[in-house]
Amino acid sequence: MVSLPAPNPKAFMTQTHSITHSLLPVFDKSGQEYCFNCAVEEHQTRAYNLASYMLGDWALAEDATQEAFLSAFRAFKGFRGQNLAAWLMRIVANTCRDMLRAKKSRPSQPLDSLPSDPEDPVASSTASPESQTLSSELREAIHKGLDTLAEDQRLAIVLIDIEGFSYEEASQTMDTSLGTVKSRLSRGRAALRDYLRTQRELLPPSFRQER
Amino acid sequence: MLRLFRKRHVSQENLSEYLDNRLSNEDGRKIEMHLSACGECREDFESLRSTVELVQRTPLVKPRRSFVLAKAPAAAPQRTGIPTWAAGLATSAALAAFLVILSSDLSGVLTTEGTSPRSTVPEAATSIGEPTATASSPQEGEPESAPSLMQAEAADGGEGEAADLTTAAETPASTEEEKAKQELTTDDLASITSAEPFGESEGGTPAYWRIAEGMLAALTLVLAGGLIWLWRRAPGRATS
Repeated sequence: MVSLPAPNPKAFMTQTHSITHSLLPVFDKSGQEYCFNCAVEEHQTRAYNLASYMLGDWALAEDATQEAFLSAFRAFKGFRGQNLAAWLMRIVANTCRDMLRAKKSRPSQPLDSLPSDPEDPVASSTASPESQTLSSELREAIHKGLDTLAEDQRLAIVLIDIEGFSYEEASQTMDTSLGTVKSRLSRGRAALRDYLRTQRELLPPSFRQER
Repeated sequence: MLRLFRKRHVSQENLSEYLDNRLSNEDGRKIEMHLSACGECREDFESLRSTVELVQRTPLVKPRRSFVLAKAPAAAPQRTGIPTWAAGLATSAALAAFLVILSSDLSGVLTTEGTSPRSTVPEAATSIGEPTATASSPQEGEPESAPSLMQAEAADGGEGEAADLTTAAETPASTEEEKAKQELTTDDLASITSAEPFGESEGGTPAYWRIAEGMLAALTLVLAGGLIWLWRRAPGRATS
């Protein structure tokens, strides 16, 4: 068996991630570490938000994200999938489920009372000024509404509506069929709508006028 | 056809998929026709769309810290503190020293301390006509090379007595040849007791050179083993 010299992963990071991941087994340990940290930088905001919505606690979300990335790194060398984001979010979701089971009770500290980065609380660069001004009350309303949902429905909504996953990516993340994803998403959306109808005072005026 | 759509309301799942443009053109057209005709479903759809738009406008919160992994695994090889090139240099030096001593030993350089007395040894042995039974014959030139040590030993006074005892024990005969041999061994023994505290081995090589040889050989083996170990566990060698 001919052993080729390990290529420099930096040369591949300008390409799409699928190229990098297909070459992942060829990289040496430091190369894989470099690739993994690039993936962490790219997906850590998604992972952190998913954990915060799943756990309802910023501090717990940090712990879960860290733990999930450590677990992912241990399994990173054997990753052969096509969608790294879905794979990482699946690990985050599973970590959150484990923490929820261990925690037993629901969050002791509400999300809206916890501090976020005052200079740049919103990671999305496409956020309009309107969404910037509405962010705090939006988050408060959405978080409270999502807390009322079943865990699977909440995960489907967070993945597809908040983090922008496709149905297929959500299916991979949730390790379930496409039909189940559609069902969970539709039921979650309907339940969230029903909740928001009862919380009109929390919603922005534009939303209330549409009622 | 229109009546059929009016009778059956659109399911939440279909409304949700229609909202995300996930339905086929035909199914999407059917739902459009139903929504235009059914006020209840239209209101249902509008409220669902408002809810989804609201959720989609929820911004992602930037984490307060980075989750990039520290370089702990990369720092692991530095814990040894021995670069591979240094280990290789040490191994090469030990091997070179070992080979120098070994070749010197085999070529007989170590059998005498100086170069000039070496020629006298075979001559003395041949003139005697028989192989020197004592182990010290090659060292006959030693008194010239280590006079200071001899003087130091002479201060103790034990060396002369040892020489007498040895000659008395080994040379009972009184022939001239034996006398010559006695003189030879006496001189040699004096030089050994003065310059070689460890005595001599059978081949005429000082014992401490033998010990040094052995130690250097062992050191070379240990260093070479360590070098191979370092080389194998180097990060660049990991191939999968």
